[in-house]
Amino acid sequence: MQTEPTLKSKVAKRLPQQVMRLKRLGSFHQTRLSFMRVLTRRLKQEQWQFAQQEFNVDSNGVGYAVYNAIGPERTYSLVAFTHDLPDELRSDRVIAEQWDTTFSLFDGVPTSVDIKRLSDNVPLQEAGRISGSELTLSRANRSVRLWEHVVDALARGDQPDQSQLDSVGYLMRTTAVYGSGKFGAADRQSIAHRDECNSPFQVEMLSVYLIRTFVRDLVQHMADARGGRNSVKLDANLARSLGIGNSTGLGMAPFILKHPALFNNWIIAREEALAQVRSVASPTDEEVALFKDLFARASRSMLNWKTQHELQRGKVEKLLTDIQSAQRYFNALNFHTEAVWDTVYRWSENNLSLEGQEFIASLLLEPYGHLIDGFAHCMGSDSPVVPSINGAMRLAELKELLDKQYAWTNSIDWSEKSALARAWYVSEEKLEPRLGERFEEPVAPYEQPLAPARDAVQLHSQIETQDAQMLVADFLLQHPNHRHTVRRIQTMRDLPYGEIQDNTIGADLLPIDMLRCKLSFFGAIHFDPRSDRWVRIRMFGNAPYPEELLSGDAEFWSYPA
Amino acid sequence: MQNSGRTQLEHTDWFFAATVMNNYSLNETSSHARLAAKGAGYSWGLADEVYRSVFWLINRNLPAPLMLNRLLSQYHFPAEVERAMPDINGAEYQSRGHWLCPIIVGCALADRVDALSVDAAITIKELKCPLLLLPFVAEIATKLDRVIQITLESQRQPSLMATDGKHVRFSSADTVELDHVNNVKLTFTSITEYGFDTTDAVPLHNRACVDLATWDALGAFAQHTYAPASEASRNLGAGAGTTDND
Repeated sequence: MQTEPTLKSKVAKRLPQQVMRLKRLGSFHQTRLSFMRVLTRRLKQEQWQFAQQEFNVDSNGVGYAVYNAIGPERTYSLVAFTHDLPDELRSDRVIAEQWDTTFSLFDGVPTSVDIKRLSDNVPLQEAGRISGSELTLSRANRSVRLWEHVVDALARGDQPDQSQLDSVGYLMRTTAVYGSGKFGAADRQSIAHRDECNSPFQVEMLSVYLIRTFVRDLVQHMADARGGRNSVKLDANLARSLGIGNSTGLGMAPFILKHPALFNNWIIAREEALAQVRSVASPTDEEVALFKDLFARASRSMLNWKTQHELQRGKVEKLLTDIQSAQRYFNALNFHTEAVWDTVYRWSENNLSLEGQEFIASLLLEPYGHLIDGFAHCMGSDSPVVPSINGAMRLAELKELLDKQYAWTNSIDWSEKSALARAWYVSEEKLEPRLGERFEEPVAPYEQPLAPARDAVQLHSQIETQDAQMLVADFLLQHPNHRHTVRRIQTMRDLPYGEIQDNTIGADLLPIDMLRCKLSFFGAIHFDPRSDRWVRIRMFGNAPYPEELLSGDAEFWSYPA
Repeated sequence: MQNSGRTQLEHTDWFFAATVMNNYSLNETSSHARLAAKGAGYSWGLADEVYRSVFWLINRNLPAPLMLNRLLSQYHFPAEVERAMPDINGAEYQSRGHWLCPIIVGCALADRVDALSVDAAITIKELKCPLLLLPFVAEIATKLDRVIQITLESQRQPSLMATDGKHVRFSSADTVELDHVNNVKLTFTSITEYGFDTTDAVPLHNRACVDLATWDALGAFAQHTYAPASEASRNLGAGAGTTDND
């Protein structure tokens, strides 16, 4: 990585107690370290080639297609199946059993035997089986309204209406993209050593990127089938404005609790990047110009952020006000002063909402790819899923760790019912995580270990009744119910940004904060919560299609020009 | 004894032993095992250790799901797990009830790794399914930089397992499927003295073959961790209600 003149005393990272609050995490925006952008940057830098290996779809939209992404060392192939789904069966819920399209990312180039095997399984999704040759399993449903509008317009020889495209933003939305060993797919560990899989979720992102291409080709195919000689090709600029939608429910929320080492690395990469940029002594003219340009582009994009969700609408309204304040501030600011980015960040903390602060924090990183893009390589984790316990530790030391790392739990009144109002459980029906009302439903016996705050407090009380010199090994032999918490406390000593410093079972918990945080690291924009526990987003909107990668903007596509 | 009667790990040993074998990823198999343990009455923290133990074993193509199912089938009700905990007296591990659980004993040993003396043998009485103990012993062997030999004594001729963390040696193929041993002895040897060779190196596998009956039996244990569905909780819990056809 290159260096840049920095301040004599480097600006420190923001502290975990500031960053790791759900309200702030739930206001995160995408950055240049987001996994979609890491992917497109790589595809362009390494000059990946793309091919449509097969497109075997009839005039009713039933059939299959295969797309190859050919990298310097390996080829990955999206195998897509498309179905004729009646409207009444279309559901984004994970309990759905049929979809408009289903997909798997194949590791290599599939043979006809592979395709046959996948055709028997992929359309069934969770009820089917894939193999170690497959990396992901996913499905997508049409946006009925926009799909019909686009097919109809193109078939008649017209282009679709830009405002209608903007109002939805995608022709199809995925409702799950499973990876890492799910339903028989290859384990993450078996591909983690590959350079192109080093950053997190790269095969999942590649799947969605190829799905977007397939969907564009499919809508054209359907329009051609309907319109015959009258149909026209979808304008490239209109096509590029479309992304892939995604509906994400509670299933994703526990991820950041279950993978603290990985989560720590995501956050620390972003925080270290921000600290580095704030430490830049003075920016070049080009860096200032890029920042101003992207601020203007992002500001316009935020005007298109539509949501019916009352809470999110309030946040977006505040953000739009924040953007106006920032514009006035930037107009008056001399950017060529020492530590100007630190000044800008500090100004945002004092003057903007959390949504605005995190918007500025993400934007500040943009001109500094040469300083921070390398951090993307540090965002994975090869830590063991279940780390060893240090049984030789005395309870006194464990208590010290608790007092130091979990002091924030003292601000919660655990005697109040509301502090324990929720319980995470897994439903028998679809084996998916849900959030229940502990005092209203009989779900407590099925509670998942996703309440680190409460568990830490319970462990603390138990330790206080024991001899401080007792070994953790002896304590755990008597109290195996605290084993997962002891492991977590010990592990967190090296993971300052691994724990959400809020109650994850309180009555005021908004699971969408957890979803938003994770999806921002994916690179999602325009979060549109549909309730407090599921959210729709758009992925790869405005990104160059495979054939546009070499000539197009693989870097700043998140900010429409 | 160390170099005689040993069996190399052959894929065929148990691969063809059952009728219907399915091919699973390591993560889904280990997660399945974790939930089964929780469903059978283990705490979440111990169930996590089951994940770890099973992952290590299937990564080496050893029949962990089969043995875990046999272990869990010993419990008649969840609280029985506590009776499978050891009372520890120095280097001697004894059951509070009728027998010891290899996962719990494995944890107790691994938790005490810093206090273990390599000069004295460790004895364990009445241990179920000793294969499941092996990953913990391998971890200890790695940390102590020793070979640990596990002598398994029951009514018949003693069997042996030995590991330094990288290599594994069994005295015979059926050692991996032992259900119960009366006396277990762990002894520590220096790596150079023991003399593992290349035939003891265990190739790592990316997939697990599990027979359907075992998979389903573990699934039946895991079932106890799932809350029964109701329409009310479905809507409360998943936050549904808006139309998806936009």
